[in-house]
Amino acid sequence: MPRFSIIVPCFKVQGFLRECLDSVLEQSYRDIEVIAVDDRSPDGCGAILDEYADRDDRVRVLHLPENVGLGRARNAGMPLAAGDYLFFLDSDDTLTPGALRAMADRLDEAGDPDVLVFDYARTHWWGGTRRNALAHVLAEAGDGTFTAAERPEILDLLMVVWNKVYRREFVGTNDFSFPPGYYEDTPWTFPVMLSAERIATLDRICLNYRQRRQGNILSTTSRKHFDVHDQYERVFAFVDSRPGLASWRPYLHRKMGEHCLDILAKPDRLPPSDKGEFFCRTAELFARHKPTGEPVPAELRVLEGGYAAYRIKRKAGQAGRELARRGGQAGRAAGGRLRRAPSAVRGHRPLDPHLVLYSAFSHRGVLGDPGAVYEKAREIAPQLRGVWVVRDQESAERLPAGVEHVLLDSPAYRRVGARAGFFVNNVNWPGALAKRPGSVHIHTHQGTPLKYMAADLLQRPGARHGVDVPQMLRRADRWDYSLVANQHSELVWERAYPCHFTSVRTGSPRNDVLVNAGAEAGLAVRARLGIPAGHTVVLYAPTRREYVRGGHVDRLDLARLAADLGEGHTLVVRLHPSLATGPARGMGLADLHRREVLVDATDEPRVEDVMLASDVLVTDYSALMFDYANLDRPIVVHADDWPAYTASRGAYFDVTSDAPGHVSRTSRELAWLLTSGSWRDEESARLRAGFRERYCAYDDGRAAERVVRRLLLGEEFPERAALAKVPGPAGARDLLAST
Amino acid sequence: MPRFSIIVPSHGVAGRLPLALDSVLAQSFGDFELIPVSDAPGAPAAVLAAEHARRDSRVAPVHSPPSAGLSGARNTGIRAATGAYLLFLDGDDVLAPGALAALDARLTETGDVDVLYTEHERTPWWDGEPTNPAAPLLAGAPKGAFSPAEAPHVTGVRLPAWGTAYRRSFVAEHRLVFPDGHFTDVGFGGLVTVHAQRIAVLRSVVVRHLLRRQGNRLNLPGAHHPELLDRTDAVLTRAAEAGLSGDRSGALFEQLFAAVLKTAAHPARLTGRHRRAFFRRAGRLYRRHRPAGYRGPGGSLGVQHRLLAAGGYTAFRALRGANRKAAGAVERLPRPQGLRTRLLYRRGLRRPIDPDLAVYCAYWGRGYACSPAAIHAKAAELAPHIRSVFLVEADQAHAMPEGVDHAVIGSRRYWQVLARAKYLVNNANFAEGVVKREGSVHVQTQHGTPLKKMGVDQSTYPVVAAATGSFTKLLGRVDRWDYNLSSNTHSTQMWERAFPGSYEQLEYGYPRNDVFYTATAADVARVRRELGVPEGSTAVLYAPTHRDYHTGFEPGLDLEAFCEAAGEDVVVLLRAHYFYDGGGRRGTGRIIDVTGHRSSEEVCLAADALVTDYSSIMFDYANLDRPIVVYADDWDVYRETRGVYFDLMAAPPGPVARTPQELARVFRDGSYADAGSAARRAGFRSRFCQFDDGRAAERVVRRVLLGEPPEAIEPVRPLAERVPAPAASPLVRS
Repeated sequence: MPRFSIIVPCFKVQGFLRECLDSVLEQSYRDIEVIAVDDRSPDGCGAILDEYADRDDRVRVLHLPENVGLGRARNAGMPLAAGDYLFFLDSDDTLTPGALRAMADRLDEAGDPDVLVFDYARTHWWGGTRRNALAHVLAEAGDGTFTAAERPEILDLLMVVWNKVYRREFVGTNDFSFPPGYYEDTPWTFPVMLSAERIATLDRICLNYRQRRQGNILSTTSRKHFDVHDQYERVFAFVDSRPGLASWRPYLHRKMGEHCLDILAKPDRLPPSDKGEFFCRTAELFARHKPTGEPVPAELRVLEGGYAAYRIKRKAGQAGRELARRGGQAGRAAGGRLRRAPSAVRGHRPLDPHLVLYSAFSHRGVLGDPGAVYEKAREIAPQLRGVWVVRDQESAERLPAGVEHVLLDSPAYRRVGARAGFFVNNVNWPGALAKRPGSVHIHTHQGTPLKYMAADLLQRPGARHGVDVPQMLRRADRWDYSLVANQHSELVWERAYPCHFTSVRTGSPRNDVLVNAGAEAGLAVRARLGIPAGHTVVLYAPTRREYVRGGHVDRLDLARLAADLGEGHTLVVRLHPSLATGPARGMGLADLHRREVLVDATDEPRVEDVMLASDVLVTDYSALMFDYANLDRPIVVHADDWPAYTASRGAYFDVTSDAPGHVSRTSRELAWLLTSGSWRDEESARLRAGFRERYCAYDDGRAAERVVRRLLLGEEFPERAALAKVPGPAGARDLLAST
Repeated sequence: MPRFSIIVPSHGVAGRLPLALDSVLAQSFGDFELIPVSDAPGAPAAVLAAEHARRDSRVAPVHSPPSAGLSGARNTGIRAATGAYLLFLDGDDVLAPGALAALDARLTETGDVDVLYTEHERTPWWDGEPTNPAAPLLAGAPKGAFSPAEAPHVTGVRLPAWGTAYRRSFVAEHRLVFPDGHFTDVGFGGLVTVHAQRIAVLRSVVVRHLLRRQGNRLNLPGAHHPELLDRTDAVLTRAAEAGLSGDRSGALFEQLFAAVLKTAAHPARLTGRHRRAFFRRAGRLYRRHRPAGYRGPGGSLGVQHRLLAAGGYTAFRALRGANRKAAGAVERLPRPQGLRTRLLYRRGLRRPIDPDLAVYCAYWGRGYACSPAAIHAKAAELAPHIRSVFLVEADQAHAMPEGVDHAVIGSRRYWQVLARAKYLVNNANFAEGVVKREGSVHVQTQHGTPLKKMGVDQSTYPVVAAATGSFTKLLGRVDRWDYNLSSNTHSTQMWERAFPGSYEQLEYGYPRNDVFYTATAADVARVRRELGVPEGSTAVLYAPTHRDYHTGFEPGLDLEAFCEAAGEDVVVLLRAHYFYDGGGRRGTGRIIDVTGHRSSEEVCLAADALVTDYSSIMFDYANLDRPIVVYADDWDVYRETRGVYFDLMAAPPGPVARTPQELARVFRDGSYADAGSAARRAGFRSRFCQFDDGRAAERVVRRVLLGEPPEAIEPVRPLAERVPAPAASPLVRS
């Protein structure tokens, strides 16, 4: 008996069907059966299904003699199902890699619940991917199981059939089935969710919900949308038949009202001439099922009036919103003019040579090189007044105590911006900040460049797509000093940014902490991340890809890698910061973190901490490798798509031949390198030594002081001293040595 | 003695130096020495040069202090050079692939010349298309080697010193050196022109010159501009000493003073009294060096010449100022672009649809080709009452076959027929402004079976999405389609997702492929004769596809080497993807360039075997049931960055080669045409040659133009019953 019975009804989806079936059959979790129901599709669906059934004996095809519609096609497939769980997958959607494994694990963990609700992402025809906005409901539901009464917010999620799996026995006992007509999900989902005694959630994107330009059956204009009333009648009939569920009536009544008004408001669903009739039918249904003694919510009261009143109210609402929008626009424009006016006055006051304005990573806080310079300046040059620019109140609250700050675009920001003698940033200052003659801009960069930057993207259509390099360079025209940590960077920055700055060989201030790290430096971080004492910590830090929209690719099966590493190891994953808020972490990383399979350190504000806490770095092409080399700890480069990476982004040198350590081309090779101990062999040390010589040349642990003295105070300070300090060993290595 | 000494000054451009050096070291022609010139040992450029020297013994770095300038660096390089020809390359430019081979071939052709001028490509630093400014200059030069008297206007004054090859003994004999200071190229080029006796030009791009973001340093404001006059003086003095003929000295004089006048006219380069002083001195030089009997140019330039001769600075300044203002004003005038044609089109739309008018277009107006042409021909036969107009770009109109009524894109007639035609047949899309009229019938024939992702499926691949533009607009164009042709189920399914719309799919096959079943042995022999395929040889069609991630500077497959290794009787028909049209490739010997040939189908008929990477030509060629070899040296990159609909490597139409050696091997040992190859092809054919049976055009004409009902259309003949056109030469079959 397979774990999952996946029922796939097919009708006119020949272009998408293969992708759907492949996404199911290629899952690492293989204990499944696929029941494909050919709903008398007039196109090639039937033939495709037969082809798959021939090829894979987990697939069975049911050809229906006549077209019955989505709901009844699912019903037809149900009796054939033998699995523990039923999964109704729509044939133009796809599963994400590893989805079934994650579901199976979660089902085991939750002790076979009646229903498991999981997360999805919408993939739009124009290429965008959006995560479900209510995903947090799934996370907040916790590890246990619950009923809808305990957590009614679970019903706020999209009430569709395909974002859940159902215990077959539970469905059978209750004799649930799908009705005919549109909106067939409604009289299935409400009864199922309300009757389920044990609901569990899985906060992981398991399914891509395809948003087609046309062809989504619900967004075609027809009278079939009137079916929604019958569907709610069925829901109410079900609740009537179960006395225990009577308390849900007010809730369902409200949902029904909202749902029908929503359909009415959408422009492409109902024929305009039928909208009045739809409204009346809805109002009638609404009145009939009105629970006694319950107040009608304000936004639904319109259903108690006439259609004319509804239309007037809607028109008024639209006009009001438009007015507010225009008013807001005009207000903002006027405000902008007003705010700029005083800066013209301020421009005549002299620059303050002791005022230093700092910002890092688009105003996110005291971080990176500017942060290191700031700390050092506070220590050795207290006469300098350092002010940080932060983007919002939230970032301001996270600043350490005693840090003077201004909010971006606030009057205070404009005040200090007009008078500061020095500007220190690791990204470009916003375009609105005009540079006054005499002020000094220090650009620290974010790391040593491996991939092509700025003007060098000329020949990379994918990487330059949507990037305004000329604007970037106009902003870079404000730089006076560009800090470099090695000669390679110096040459690259001068080539990629054809501007007017002077390169200063200071080293990277942010790396001082790595060069000067003591033995205990990483221990506190390890404790904070919950890493058991004595573990070998493998830090995996992949970078973005330019050949795929959004930049995120799953090049490694992280669960598998964590398992391969085995006892005594902790896998710490840090995604590129730009991927921290997108759907990337929902594709399994967050779930694995929750299950303590690995540690997701993407949210750690200081990447230096994460580096200090680790024993080895595994990265593809992240610039982190140059910083990490300062620790003189092993590095493994996982370069399984290097040709595609260079073709789409371009690279200044071949990291696979000038590598900082061993290079793996497949995930098996990577696992072998890590488990066999090769990651820290002599060859690795030899490669690293050469790499350090090339790319850690100016990092001697005194970079911040050099910046403060040479650039902020105008004192003499020598370039890198003859020998750098030997960096501190990783926390775990001493512990290992003692075992 | 190496053939070339390539001298690469690098001051201030160390960051780009590796690109320059690598572009030289990667040349297919290897007999050269590479002389990078850097500031001093230990300088960044010197370190890079030393690294290259360690790896390659042809690299011989030298040093020249920054104070000696560009001229000092080049002169140091000349002193160190031992090659037959000197070639200068700036450290931030690169040599085009094959440039040295082309130079060598040209020098062999012309015999020893003193100087060989070439074309170059100017690449904008960010926006805009590359240009080739030397091409018009060199266009008028004689074919072979020539003496300066034959083409006095070909001088070194207007051409950069880089990219030009100078015979080293010629430079040494006349003790030519780059003059110190700025404008050293003008000075050197002028001196070379004075002394050169035998000159030749190479009409292909040798150097790709990347423009600086801040523009040419020489054009910036500064005190260096008077040095242009020094150079002019020196060149003209030397010319007078050498006793140049009137023609030659006149051309030199005119070109030098064109540059001088440009600087004098530019208020930004020189200001106030500096500009006045420059003009005065230029006037003195003008009067001193004006060749006897020299007649200045006419027009505005002639006036400037006369003012210079007369020393009329005030008048000159007023004239240039007025001209500049006038030009600016004209620029600012709003010009109603295409308004007239838009109105014309609007008016046409108001008139009734012409039910007997059909408009055809192929590949955005590239000519009479592909399925639209095939349907056009069949319609003339089966639906003679329908008037047909083929749309074509102006530059291709001359190539239209006799008797095909055509309209040039953008012309009045173009808009008129587009507005009124009932039938509109295209293998791409009509222009954005074309609207779909109620009652008109748009037929999209497509131009290949999709292997790579198409349409909206490209949206997740930025490398291609960047070139596609707005997907919403794309779908707006798709919404005009009434019928879409497909030649197999795979295409039908993929078109549906790539181009979501409400059109009807016609599973009739591609009309352009009909000829693969109707052509005779005589036709095949005729095409081979026309293409110049030697009797009895095996013609291998090499048709690589376009790669969005390529910059046009990748070397690609070495076809000469392939011919050598593949076998004595092998010739290659090279058909690059149509985006490469107009490229500088020339067929030599065993390589016949058929890129410009109108009909891809005829080329296929002529070929005994096909080698391609991922081009959709393989689906068409498979109809001929002749051997196909897939040369997939970067499949992973293509798959990841471009996106594909199926794994070609899992179900290829024949043997797959990953390296040039493997490719040569399958031809040498005959496995390109063995039983294994045939078996793969059979599977491929059953999957992709589904509806192509030689009668596609007829079905389309009957269904669309004659309006016959779908059930009246004859069904597709099964694959087993079709007989493809015979191949020319008997093939090795086991």
